[in-house]
This record gives sequence, structure tokens and C-alpha cells, in this order.
Amino acid sequence: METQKRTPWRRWIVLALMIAGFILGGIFVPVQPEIAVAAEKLIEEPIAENFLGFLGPLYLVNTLPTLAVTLVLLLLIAFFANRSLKQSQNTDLVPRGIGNLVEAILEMLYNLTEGSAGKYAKMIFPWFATIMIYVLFANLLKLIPGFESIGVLHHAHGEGHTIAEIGGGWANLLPAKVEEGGYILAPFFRGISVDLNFTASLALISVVMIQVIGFRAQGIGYLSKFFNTRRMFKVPFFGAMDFLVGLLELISEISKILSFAFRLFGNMFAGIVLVAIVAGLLGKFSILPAMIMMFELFVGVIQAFVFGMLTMVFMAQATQGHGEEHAEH
Amino acid sequence: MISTLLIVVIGQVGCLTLAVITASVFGGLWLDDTFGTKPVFTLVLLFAGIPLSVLLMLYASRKTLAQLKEKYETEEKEPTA
Repeated sequence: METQKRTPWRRWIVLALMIAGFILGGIFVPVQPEIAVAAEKLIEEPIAENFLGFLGPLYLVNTLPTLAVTLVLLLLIAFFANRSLKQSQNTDLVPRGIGNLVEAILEMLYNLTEGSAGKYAKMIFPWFATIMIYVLFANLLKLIPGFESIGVLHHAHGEGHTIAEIGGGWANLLPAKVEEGGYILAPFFRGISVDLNFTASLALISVVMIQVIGFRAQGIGYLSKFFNTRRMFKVPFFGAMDFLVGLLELISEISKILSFAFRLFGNMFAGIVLVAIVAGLLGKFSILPAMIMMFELFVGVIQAFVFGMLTMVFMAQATQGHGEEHAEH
Repeated sequence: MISTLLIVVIGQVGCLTLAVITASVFGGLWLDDTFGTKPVFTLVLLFAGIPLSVLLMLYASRKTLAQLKEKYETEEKEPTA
């Protein structure tokens, strides 16, 4: 059988892009971005004076457009994957393209769930897969060039950057800093996982659902995890110990919310700070911040996996009463 | 017990990158300020921190997976009475 000789051309494109990035980095010297913990306002006035009547003013911050883009992308992928799978069912062929990819990912996640949760996998899997894919998209979307670098110029209250008009109302932020009359950039899009509102709300959903699944699996017996009075009267000393351990479990459930929220937020915010510091230090040699973006890609995938897996394993643990854990495997 | 081990390793993996990178960046910035060597220490510690966090992650995962494997094997040999 004559093997067809393949000419590896893709690597030359990657090399050319790296060289172009290196050269462009020297021409358009990157400006050290403003490091803001909270999401920046795109417009000063609130879009709702008193949101829902009691939540106070609602501002258009730059994570809201990203949230919309993420949801639209996820829905589009779900739609096309579903259509591709339907077509394959009609033609009895192996699903192609996006249907195949999505099916492979979901199958891998389902097997992971079954390995930990056993017969409760069907109940736990939707939460695990949704959270993981959503966080994965949130983390990877912010690595697209143009994200967090195109936006609205605000007058700086203090030190700011000079600008160079490009025309048509657009301007380029220059590295030179000025004490007065300078500008700072509020990007149109900011990664949603770099907003504590997003990570905290996802953490709340995850921990509340862990309790719900615990109740669904064990019924009211799930409460014995927190208020353990089984041995209270038979062996009072150990019974009291069990009761205290139960209260500690209650505290640990609350600390899960903090750990979920701050782990994801901290890792993704550290990414922004990293790129900002290195871009500010290196200026012309912008190929190195690009390497950090690769590390950001790695961290983004890891953090999505960690958030999803921890949710799933905690849910699996919540379905098991005391001493049932070995019987399950 | 097995899910607790899983929780431990996933939690470790999740925080390792944050801890190592934060320490290397802010350690480097402090050293640079102290010795006036901007940006040498920051960059050296940073680009050493990235592979180090990945290696620590692999080490923590492999160590725990070995424990998990051992637990699975002992459980298969002595099915619960």
C-alpha cells in the first residue's frame, strides 16, 4: 500500500504567527492594563435605578456582555450538536463533526461520574457537566485576542496613559503615563470567571445542590450528617463527640462556598495580574506574555475540571450515609 | 474514603497554581525592589514558577492516584462483609 507523503505545513503557519506576534509586539508596545478586582463599568449611569425593587442600582459592567456571549455560544453548540446527532440517527452513521466531539466529551464525563457516584450518576451528571462546560467556556473565552484589550477610554482619576487618535472616534492607548489628564481602558469584555459575582453564585448553586441531592438520596436521614445524635444516649461521651463533628460538618459546608468561589476567582484573577505585570515589565518582548497565555489556557482547563469534579465528588459523597461508602463500590 | 482522597487531590491541584504563581510573582517583585534589579528576579522566579506548579500538580496527582489504586485493590481482595 503506497503511503501518501504528507507535507507538514501547519507548523510553518504557527512559526510565522509567532514571528509576526514578536514583531507586532515591538511596534504596538503593550500597555500595562489596569488591574481592577471588580468588573469595570462601561457606562457611568446605572441601567436600573433599583433593580428588582430592592437590589439597588444595576450598572452595565464589562462581564455582562461576556456572560451573554458565553451563553449564546453554549446554546449554539448545543443546537448544532443536537442537530448533528439527529442526522446521524436518521442515517445510522457515526455522528460527524461537532456532534461527535460533544458526544465524546459527555461520555467521558458520564463515565467519570459513574465511577464516583454509582447508581446516582444520572442525578448528579447534569450538574457536573453543566458547571464544568460553562466554567470551561468562561475561562477559555477570555483568551481570545481582543478580549480585555478593546474597550471604552475613561478619564483617569490620577495617573493615566496618553492616547493617539486613530480616527472615527477610536484611539490607541500609549505606554507613556501622565499624572493628570490621562486615560484608562475599561475593556468591553472581561472574563466572567474574573468576577466574584459569577464564581460566588456558581459556588452557591453547587453547594445548595449538594444538599438537595443529599436529601434526595438519603431523605431526612441526611440531616444526621450535621446533627448526629445516634450514639448520644448509648455512649454519651462518643455521642457528644459525634455531635460536635456534625456541627463541624455544617461549618465545612459553608466553607465549601468560599473555597469554590475564591479558588476559581483567585486563579483567573492571578492570570490577569500575571499578564499585566509581565507585559508592563517586558514591553517590547511581547512573545513572553504570549507564553503566559498558554499557561492561562492550561490553568483555565484545570480550574474548570477542578470546579466540576469537586462538585460531583461532593454530591457523590452526600448520597452516601455513614458506613455505606464501601458498599457502593 | 475514596471520594475523600479524590476531594483532597482535586482541591490541591486547584490551589497549587495559584499559590506557586502568586508566591513567585510577589516574591520576585519584592526582591527586585530590595536589590533594585527590576525586572530580573520577577521574570526568573515567574518563569521558574510556571513549570514548577505543573510538576507539583503532577506529583500530587500521581501520589494520590497510587493511593487510590491501592485502596481499590485492597477493597477488591476483601469485599465488605
